[in-house]
Amino acid sequence: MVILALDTATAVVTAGIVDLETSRTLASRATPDAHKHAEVLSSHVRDCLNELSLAFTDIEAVVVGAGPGPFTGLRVGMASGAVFANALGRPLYTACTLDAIALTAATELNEPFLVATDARRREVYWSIHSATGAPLTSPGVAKPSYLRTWLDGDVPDIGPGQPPVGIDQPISMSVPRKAVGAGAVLHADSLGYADAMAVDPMPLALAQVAAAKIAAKAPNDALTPLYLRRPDAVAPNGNKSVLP
Amino acid sequence: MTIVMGIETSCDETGVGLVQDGKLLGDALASSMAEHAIFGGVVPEIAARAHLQAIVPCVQQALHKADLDLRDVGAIAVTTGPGLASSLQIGMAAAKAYAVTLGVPLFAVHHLAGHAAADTLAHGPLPAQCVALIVSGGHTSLLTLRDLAVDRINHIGDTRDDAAGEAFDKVARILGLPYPGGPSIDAAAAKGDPHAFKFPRALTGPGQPKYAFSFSGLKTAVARTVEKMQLKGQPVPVEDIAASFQEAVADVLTSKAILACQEYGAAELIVVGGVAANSRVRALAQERCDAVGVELRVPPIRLCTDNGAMIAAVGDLLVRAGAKPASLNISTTPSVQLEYASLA
Ligand SMILES: Nc1ncnc2c1ncn2[C@@H]1O[C@H](COP(=O)(O)OP(=O)(O)OP(=O)(O)O)[C@@H](O)[C@H]1O
Ligand SMILES: [Mg+2]
Repeated sequence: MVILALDTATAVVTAGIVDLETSRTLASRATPDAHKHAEVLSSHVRDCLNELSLAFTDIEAVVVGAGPGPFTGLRVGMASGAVFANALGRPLYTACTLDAIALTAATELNEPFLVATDARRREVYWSIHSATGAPLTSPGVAKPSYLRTWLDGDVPDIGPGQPPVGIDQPISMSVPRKAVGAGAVLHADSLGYADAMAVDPMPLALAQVAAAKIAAKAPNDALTPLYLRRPDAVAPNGNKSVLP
Repeated sequence: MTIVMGIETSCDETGVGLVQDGKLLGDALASSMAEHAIFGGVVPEIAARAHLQAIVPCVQQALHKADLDLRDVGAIAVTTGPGLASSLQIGMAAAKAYAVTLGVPLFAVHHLAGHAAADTLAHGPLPAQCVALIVSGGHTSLLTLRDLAVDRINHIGDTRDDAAGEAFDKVARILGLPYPGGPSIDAAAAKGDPHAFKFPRALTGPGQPKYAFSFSGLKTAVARTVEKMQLKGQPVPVEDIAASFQEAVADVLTSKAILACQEYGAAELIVVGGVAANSRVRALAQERCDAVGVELRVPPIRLCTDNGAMIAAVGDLLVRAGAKPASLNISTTPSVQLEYASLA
């Protein structure tokens, strides 16, 4: 099964062609630039195919990382994935980006761990995974210090604003001793994981997260990014006075 | 001849159009306007979320209407700027993925050139030279156009502050009329007296710049009128104010456009962009063009506001002119000035 896998939910714009049967990455391209998602993604796909002398028609399914991730970049990958699938007449599947990172990290760790990516605004997208990489929580978004408080067994007092996703109830599992992902590295101090390890979403891992859906020839996934945050928008309250 | 698929996502409309040899074969439009209404204006994040959902369905719908298959598409044209950054990126990402998968060239199009090209879909090729008045939500410009596909676009005058469409939207809010303001004012004005209030015509006095526009003073004048009446507890004659405001905008726009036609020796005037949908702007432009023997071209209303067909129309002109396609690595340009139709 030749799969095209894409991810733009982190600062690394990734595309790759992978073979799920042999668990091999046939070709991949990645650009570490949080402002280049819409610029480079399609070129990456073209370059991968050219390197392999493959045609687009050789691709049997498209997998795209659904985040969570900063919105504008995340949507570039999802829109591109939807178009590749549409133009090829092949199925489109989504994979949680944190799950893909976890699958790669699990090959190096043999205990549960925290995955955290950079959510900007001094926050992280996060989830906790088992030693095999399976998710033990839903993806959340939080300030690193609040997440630490929660990991320490308290429910942090967040105040008004956007709801904290996932840390409004006490933690109900043992606290992971390891952390991976660019957000964990960036906020290693406030998260309390001094030895956090940088792991990016890889094409093969993305395809593996979606492997069951691909094998089952499941219907297309909905194009639903894991935004986790609502749009910032406030309804206006009346007109300003223009009289002196 | 090449069939061009145009993609437009610069604001709150997702538009896809298919054009071949100056003819519109089919198009589709999705709008997130209703979701912005409670905010009184476009919320960029809401618009971008809606574009992501709408883009592939719009492509499929446009193809269906044109009775075409994706494999019939020979080039992609995409709005590259100006517009909302996060919205532009959806169209750009989609356009690149279609171009690379189909193995066809990508053309990068200036949104405002698209507004101008919209008229060619209704009235055929533009003349060798003409004056264009672009009046939209974000822009108000008087231009001289030559060959849209190759020549540099010459600005004779632009707005110094608000765009005409922006003035409609803001005045509608002042009058408590629903969003989007342009169509609501147009409807309210139909029942009002355009001479009930004498609102200012900015930059029309002797010695003032002949072709520049300014609408923020007009908006403030309306706001003062309304506020004074409210303070005195008087009922606000919304329809009369709407009609008088609309008359002031139409008067300034059309008088300057006619003057430009005369000074630049243009036999044809094209009026395009969302405000070209306004009934009074259309009627007064016609009246004044007739009076001086200038031929007026205004697209049908559905091609005045944002759509994908107009972007495909520019792509079609670029293909036929042998223009250079864009690189697959091109960036969007959210605040680019109108200089050339192609942004490659
Ligand atoms: N009947 C009408 N009368 C007056 N204004 C109108 C009418 N219909 C639409 N408009 C105005 O047109 C504008 C939308 O036009 P358009 O879609 O061309 O603008 P935009 O794409 O938002 O801005 P730009 O093209 O400058 O980037 C809005 O400001 C709207 O109020
Ligand atoms: Mg427009």
